[in-house]
Amino acid sequence: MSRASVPKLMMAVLLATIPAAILRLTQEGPALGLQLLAGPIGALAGEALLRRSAGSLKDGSALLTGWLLALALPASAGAALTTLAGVLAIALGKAPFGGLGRNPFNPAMVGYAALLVLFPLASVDGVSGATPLAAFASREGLTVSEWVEAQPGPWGTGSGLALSLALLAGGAGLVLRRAIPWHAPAGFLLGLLGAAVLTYDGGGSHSAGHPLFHLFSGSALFAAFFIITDPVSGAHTPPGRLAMGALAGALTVFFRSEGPFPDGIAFAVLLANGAGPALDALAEGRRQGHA
Amino acid sequence: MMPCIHCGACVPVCPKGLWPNQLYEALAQGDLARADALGLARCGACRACQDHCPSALPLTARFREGQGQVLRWTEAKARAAEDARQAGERYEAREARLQAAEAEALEAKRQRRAEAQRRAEARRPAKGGTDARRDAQRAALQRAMEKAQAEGREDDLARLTAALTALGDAS
Repeated sequence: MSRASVPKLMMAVLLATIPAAILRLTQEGPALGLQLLAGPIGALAGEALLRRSAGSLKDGSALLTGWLLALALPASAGAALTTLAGVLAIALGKAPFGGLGRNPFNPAMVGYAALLVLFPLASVDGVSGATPLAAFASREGLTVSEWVEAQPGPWGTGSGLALSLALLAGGAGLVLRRAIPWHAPAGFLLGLLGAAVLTYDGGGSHSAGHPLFHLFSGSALFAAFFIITDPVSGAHTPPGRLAMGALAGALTVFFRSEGPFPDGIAFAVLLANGAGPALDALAEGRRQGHA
Repeated sequence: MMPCIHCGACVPVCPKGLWPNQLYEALAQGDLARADALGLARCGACRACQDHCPSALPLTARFREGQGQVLRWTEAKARAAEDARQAGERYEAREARLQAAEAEALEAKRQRRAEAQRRAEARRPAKGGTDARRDAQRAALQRAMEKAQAEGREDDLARLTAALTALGDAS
């Protein structure tokens, strides 16, 4: 096995998203391709302008940030806004904290949230591209089961399910090869499903939604394997990562049912990132107690 | 060598179950107490973490160095505690000494007062003086009277007689 390196790690994560990216390209057309180029270009431009060390363009981190950001945005965002989001991701989320290894918040989600706040209409739903979550958020008097029955596929659209499975495959591959620790994804999925199960009332109009709907909708699996897994931001200890993931998952369900935006994953992740250092401190304290 | 990105590759490979990324961070921040609490002393310098670090950080060397720092820090802490204990003892001793001196001074003062009072008591004539004083005064008066009588000073004799009477009355 060749020696691990930071650029290789970044590339491994990027490659794991390729099946999902190809699936989206076949579904949503060449405009998305332009956007997938625009994200990395914006992020690399931001890095080039604000970097601290000469080599930081080649470490792959800005490239990955831009790529994940572009993939998280719907095709409706377009190349121009995606470029802007890429620049903002680095300018707001990474450079001010001292560059690689120091950002407390996920830069891609900082860029995503900035765009969501600046241009609320452009970025509606995440990876699924379709907007089952937007429809879900504004389902008015329909009960969840009525609403789900009206959908073409079982949970969202059929293509959305395929996309979710592609993300699951890529992400699970990363975890199984130990490229990324399993704690954050496991925590996220447990938190998401746990919160959804606790708030699901069988499909009433005030229900927060079926747990499987939450699992296979929007960018839940994308966030579980490619966003909350960012090693730099948030918690750095195994228990801390488990708790941070669970917090992000639970907050996602909360923001989806109560928040003003269709999908609140970006905000859920950023908030959970913010709790990371405190969760680490708790974990270290408990460990010390057992030692 | 690149910055630590907390990828966590070092965590599952550590045979001692340590969190090398957190240890490295604690040492980089100079937080020896945290490094100690994270179990730095248990690091056996096996190099597993370093071999798996994608940033090629010199983890093992840093941990070795850190163990020395923590040792010196622990010793310094123990020394400081011992110094503080001794200073405390010196303080207690000084306080006791000062209190004893103060008590002694108070006692001496009390005794001096009592002595002075006793002397004053002895000096003070008990209305007309003590017997010895009165006797001496009477003798002096009588001698003066005899002399006045011999010299025929009647005025003086009358005055001295009155004084002798007064002395006798008072006793």
